[in-house]
Amino acid sequence: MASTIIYGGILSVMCVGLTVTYQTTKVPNFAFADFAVMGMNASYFSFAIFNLASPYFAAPFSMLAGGAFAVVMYLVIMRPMLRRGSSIVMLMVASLAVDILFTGVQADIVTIGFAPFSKAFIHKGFPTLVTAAPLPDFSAMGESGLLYLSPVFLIAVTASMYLLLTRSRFGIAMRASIENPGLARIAGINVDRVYTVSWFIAGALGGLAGCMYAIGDGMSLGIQSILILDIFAGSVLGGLSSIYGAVIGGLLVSFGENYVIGLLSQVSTQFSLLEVGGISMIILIVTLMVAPRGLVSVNWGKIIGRGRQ
Amino acid sequence: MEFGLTGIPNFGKVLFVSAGGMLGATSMYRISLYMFNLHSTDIFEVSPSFTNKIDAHLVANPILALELGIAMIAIGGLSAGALGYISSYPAIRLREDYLGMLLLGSAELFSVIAAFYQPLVGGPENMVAPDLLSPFGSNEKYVALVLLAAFAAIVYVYANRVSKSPLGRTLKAIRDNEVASEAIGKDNVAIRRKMLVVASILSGIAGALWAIYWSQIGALIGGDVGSTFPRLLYTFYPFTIVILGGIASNFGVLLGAIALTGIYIITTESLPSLVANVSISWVNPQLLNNFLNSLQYIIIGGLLIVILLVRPEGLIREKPTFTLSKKKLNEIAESVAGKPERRSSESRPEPQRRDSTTSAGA
Repeated sequence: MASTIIYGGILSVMCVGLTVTYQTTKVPNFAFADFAVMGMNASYFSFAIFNLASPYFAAPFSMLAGGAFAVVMYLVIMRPMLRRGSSIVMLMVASLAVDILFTGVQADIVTIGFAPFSKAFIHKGFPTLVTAAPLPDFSAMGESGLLYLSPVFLIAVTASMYLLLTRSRFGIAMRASIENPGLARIAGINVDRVYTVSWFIAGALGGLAGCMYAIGDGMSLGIQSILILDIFAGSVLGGLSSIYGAVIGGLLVSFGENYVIGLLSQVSTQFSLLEVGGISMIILIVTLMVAPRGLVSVNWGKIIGRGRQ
Repeated sequence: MEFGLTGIPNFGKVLFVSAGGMLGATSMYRISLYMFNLHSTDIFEVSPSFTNKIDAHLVANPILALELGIAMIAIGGLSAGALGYISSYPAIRLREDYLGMLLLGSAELFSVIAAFYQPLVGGPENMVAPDLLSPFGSNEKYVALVLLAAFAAIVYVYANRVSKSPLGRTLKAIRDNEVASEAIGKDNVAIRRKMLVVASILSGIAGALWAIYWSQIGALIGGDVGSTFPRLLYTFYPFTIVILGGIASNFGVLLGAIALTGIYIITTESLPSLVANVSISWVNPQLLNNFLNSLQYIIIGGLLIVILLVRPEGLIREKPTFTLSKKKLNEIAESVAGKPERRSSESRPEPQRRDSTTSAGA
């Protein structure tokens, strides 16, 4: 149960980020998990370089790293292609290309970058270059600190997004730019700048989640390929058009992965192995078949009303 | 054909490739086991020793190898096509981005299932399939090359004929403007489904061919390391090839395939062996090895990004298709030029003219 909560928070934050990138560019961003991994990198590096007391202090660095990466990706790739009117498919392929490129670069980062810092990792040494042990966490009442902080982060993120979108001028500009960029421009909003900042926010959220993940699970090579599946599942389940849907989707996917698999494995051992990405893909497929726009698009009133009769 | 002509983003292409490969290989394996009366409680664990026995049989009996090979290809192609048909059901109505995600998800799911569901390909343990080319002994590689080249040639000719045919024009119409093509009366959904199935079959056959050559099927999770059909590579490479070559041009695809495969081979085989022979004292050899592994990704990803930014049409641009050969078109043009046109313009109804000015005016 603990891992459900922890991972749920992490995943939901990432789903929110992905949803933001989707809402701005109308394209599901395959490279989103890479923002999180950059965050992981940053958390390890900053933790070691600055000799931080607790890995949570690395969070700002992670957010910065994730945000920076996102902005670069937006400015160098997404924006030029959008201006050119590239199709959705081409943009998807582009994001996939970024992901591939990043996979290679990340391998080099890990190979070169982590070696000098291996002394800084106290826990369990630094076995291979393929996985890094989790950053040391504090424990309270017998549970890891992340169990408490993950929900806190999630609530903080959700609340901040809400406040940003409803109370701040920039947030309203964001909403306008997402809903109708043409009209927003006419109203005087610099849609391009809004998008750029939105991507920074999305990347920062990814980076934050990456930091959390590094604390909870460490880091391994290729983790972005596994994470991106869960992120897609959660975002689509909630609905790519809604940030709050993303939160719900992320939590549900995490729940599904941890809890349901646990239940099923008592039925048959074969099921327990499906945990590795199987459940999230089933969720994704079913959602796309039944309600492609996610849970928020379902007419709950109608269903509940029918049930009442 | 699938992507360029119809616009279906099959991010799950690896699904079909691997499905074809795996299913083809497994069925053939089981069939051959049955034929040779080999039993075991765990057929996959002992697969290497069995295949040796089977290989010996095959060398003695080449006709059998041929039959098995054809069967394997057929099974691979058909099963992949079936999968294509099934996955088209929900998906084909979806918009492109959702469709892409759905296909990607199915591919992942399949690879997970394949990795853990024992009867398919032995779960976490790789399966060694009987080497169908063993009758040819040391000439194996050349035979495989000829086979693959022949297959590629057949597919190429087929694809060319499709793109010049009315079907090809329809596909492009659907890709460019779905609403318009439906208004004319083309059944978008059915046609897209058909193309997905056709492409799946081809992919499945490709997978089966690969399995024949490689004679080892595995589905290990571990990202790209363990699996014989790593996800990114088999979905992404075809995409890159198509985009590099030119989306709607078959010849471009050919060029792209040559170029990319060359890059692939250089980065995965030539360079490492080059480097292994040259030892630089101040460079840690293991580091260098890691570098080269990642180089593949960097080059491919970077190349695709550059292409998309600089020349997204690919090497060969899409030209309007000439459904008749140029010679014939010229002949027709000449024969029409002299004739008085009054009769034909009277009988032809006006709505047939669909140049852009009329639609803009309306």
